Amino acid sequence: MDVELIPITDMPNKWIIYRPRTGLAFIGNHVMADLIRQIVTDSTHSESLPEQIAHFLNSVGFFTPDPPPPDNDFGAFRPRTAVLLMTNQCQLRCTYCYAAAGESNPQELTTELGFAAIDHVYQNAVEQGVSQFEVSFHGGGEPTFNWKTLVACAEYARQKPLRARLSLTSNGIWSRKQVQWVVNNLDGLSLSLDGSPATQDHHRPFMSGKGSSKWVMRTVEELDYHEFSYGIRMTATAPWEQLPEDVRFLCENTKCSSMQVEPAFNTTRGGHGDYRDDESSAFIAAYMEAFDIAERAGRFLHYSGARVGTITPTFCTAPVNALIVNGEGNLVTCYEVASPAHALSRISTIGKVENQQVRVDKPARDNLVNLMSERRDACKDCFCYWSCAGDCYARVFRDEPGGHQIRGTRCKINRSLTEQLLLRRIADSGGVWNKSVRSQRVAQTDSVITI
Amino acid sequence: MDSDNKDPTLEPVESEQPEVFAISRDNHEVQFTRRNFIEMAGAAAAGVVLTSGMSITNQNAALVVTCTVRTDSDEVQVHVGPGRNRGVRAYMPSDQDIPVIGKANDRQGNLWWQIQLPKIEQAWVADEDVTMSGDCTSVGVEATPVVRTAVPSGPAPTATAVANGAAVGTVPAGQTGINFTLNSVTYTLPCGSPIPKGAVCVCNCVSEPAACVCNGVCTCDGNCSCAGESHYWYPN
Repeated sequence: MDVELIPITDMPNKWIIYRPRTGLAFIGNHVMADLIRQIVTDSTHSESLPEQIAHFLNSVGFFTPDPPPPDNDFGAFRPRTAVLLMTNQCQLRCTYCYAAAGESNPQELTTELGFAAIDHVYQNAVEQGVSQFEVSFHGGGEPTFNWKTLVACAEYARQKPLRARLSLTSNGIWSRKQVQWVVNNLDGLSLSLDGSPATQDHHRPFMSGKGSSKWVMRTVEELDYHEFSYGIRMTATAPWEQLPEDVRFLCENTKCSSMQVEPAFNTTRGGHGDYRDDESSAFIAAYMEAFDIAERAGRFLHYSGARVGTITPTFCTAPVNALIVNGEGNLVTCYEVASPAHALSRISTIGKVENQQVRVDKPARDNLVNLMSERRDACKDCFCYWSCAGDCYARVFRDEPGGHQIRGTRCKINRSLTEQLLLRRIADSGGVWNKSVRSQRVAQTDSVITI
Repeated sequence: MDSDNKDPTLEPVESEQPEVFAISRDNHEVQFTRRNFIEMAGAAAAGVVLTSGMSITNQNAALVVTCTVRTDSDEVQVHVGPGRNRGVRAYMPSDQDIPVIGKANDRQGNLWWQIQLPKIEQAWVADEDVTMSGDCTSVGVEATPVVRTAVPSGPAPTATAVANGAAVGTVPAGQTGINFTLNSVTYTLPCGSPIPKGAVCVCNCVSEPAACVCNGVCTCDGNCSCAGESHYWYPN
C-alpha cells in the first residue's frame, strides 16, 4: 500500500494523508499521520484500531488495495504516433524559443521522410490490432511554414485504411485558407498563445518586432466560430503577477477549455535558463491564482509537473512511445533536442530514416530508457512519484554526479503545486478527496479555525 | 475549537488523539475544521461538501449517509444496477462497513443498496445479501442505471451496443461514456461498464490507451484525471 504523509507547508500539525495510486487524500493531525504510518508498516495494527477510526478508514476506502502499477516496460518500441518536426523556420522570434527558430539555415522535413514515418506507425497500429494511428505536426520552428509537405502528409495519412488522428502544434499565424484547412482536416490543435496582447506581443513578436497578438486572436476567433476544439499552450515568464491576468484574458476571449502553462526562467533564445528559486515561488503563487481564475470560468489549467490523480510510468510519452523525425531524418526522443547542437543530442538520437525505412538504434534507445528509469527510481521517495514519474529528462539531466538533478528548483515547483492542488481537491470534496466520488451536496460545519 | 492552531507562529501542541479535518478556502485563506470520524466518513461516502459559511439546506445531510452495509462473505456480488440480471462488477469486500449512497427496487420489488466503492460508479448489492447499520431510512431513492450492457462477444456488435462511429477518445455530444475498440469497431458504453477481454479501452479524454489505467472496467468521472494532461508535453 502506497501512502504518502505530506506535512502541509507552513501549517503546523496538519498532514495530507495521500494514497496516490487509489486517488484518496484527507487531512489529519500528526497523531493521525503516525497512526497511518503504523498501519502501513504493520498491517496487524489495523485490527486494533478504535472503532470510529476503523469505520472512517473503511468508509473512505483507505484499505482498498493499490491497483497494479502501470506498465513501465518500454523495451519494445512500436510507436503508433508519428511526430513530424516540419521545419526550423518561423516568422516569430519568441523571447524564450528553445530552438532559436528561424536563425539557422533552413531545414525542412521532406514528404519522403514524412511518408516513411507515417507508414511505420500505421503498420505498427495494424499489427497491434488497434483502430487508429496518430500523426502530429510539430516544431522546432512553425510547422505550417512547411505547408505543402504538411498537407501532403495529412492527405497521405488519411488514405490509410485505419483512421488517422491528425494534430498540430502551431503559433496560429495562419491565412484564412489555412484556418479553413485546419478546421476541416485536423482532429487536434495546440495553439501557442501567451495571453493578453501585451504579454503575447512582448513574448512572441514577429521578426520585425511587431506584435503577433492581433493575428493569433483572429485565428482564435475563427476557430471558435467553427467550434473547433483546441488547447492553448502558454509560456509564462517574469513578472509572474501577469500570469493570472493572462489566463483571465484567455478565459474571457476564447472558448478554449484546456490551457497548459509552463514557466520559462532567465529567458533566452536557443536554450532555456535554469530555474531560479526566488522566481519559482512567485510562479507557484501566480499559477495557483491563475488556476482559480480558470476554474471559476469553467476552464482547466494545468502544468506538466503537477498532475494530481494521474498515474503514469513516464513523465512524457514522447521519449517512449512516439516516432519523432526531424528534417535531417534523425529519430529523436524529445522535441527540444531536435538539433545535433543540443547538449542532450547524443543520448536523444535513437535512429534514422534512410531509404524510406525507419531504422531504430536499439542500443541508443535502450540507453536513454535506462537513464530515464534510473532517474525515475531516484524519485521513489517523492509524493509526486506516480504523477511526475521522474519529470522531463531534458530538464533534469545534468552534467553532475548521478547525471541528473535531485530535488532541484523544478522539483520544488512540482511538489509545491501538487501539494496545493491536493488541498484544492480535498477542500472541494469536503475533507476527503476520493477520485471516484463526486461532490453532491453541501452541509454546514460547526466551528471554523482559521490558520 | 483548535485554539493551538489559531496562530501559525505557535508551536504545535501535542494532541492526544488522532484527528481529521475538513478544509475550505475563503479567497486565499485556508480554513480547517476539526471533524469527527463518523461524520467525515459519511460525508466522504456521499460526496457531501463540509464547508463553512453556508446555510443549512438539510440538517440531516451529514447524518443520513452514515448508513452502511456489511457482509462476512467473500461471494456477495456487486452489480451495475439493482437486479440479479444486471452485470456483475466485482465482489463486495467482506467484513467492512461500506457506505450506502442510494437505494432502489428491482423489477421484482426487492430492495437493493447502491454502495460506494472506489473506482466503481454504479455499485449495487441486494439487501438480502448484506446486513445494514446506521440510519438507512433516509437514504434517497436513486434512478436506476439504464440497462446497456451488451459487451460484444464476437466480431459483430451486439444489438444493444452503441457503435456510433465516434472517434476513439472522444465522447459524442450529449453523451458520457467509454469508448473501446474491438475488431476495429468503436463502441461507446456508459461509464463504469465492463469492457470485453481483448478490447482496447480508451477513457473519455485521451486517445492513448497506455495513459489511462482501465483494469477491465473503465471509469470516466466528470473530471477525467487525464484531461488534457497525459499526452505530449512540449518545451517552450
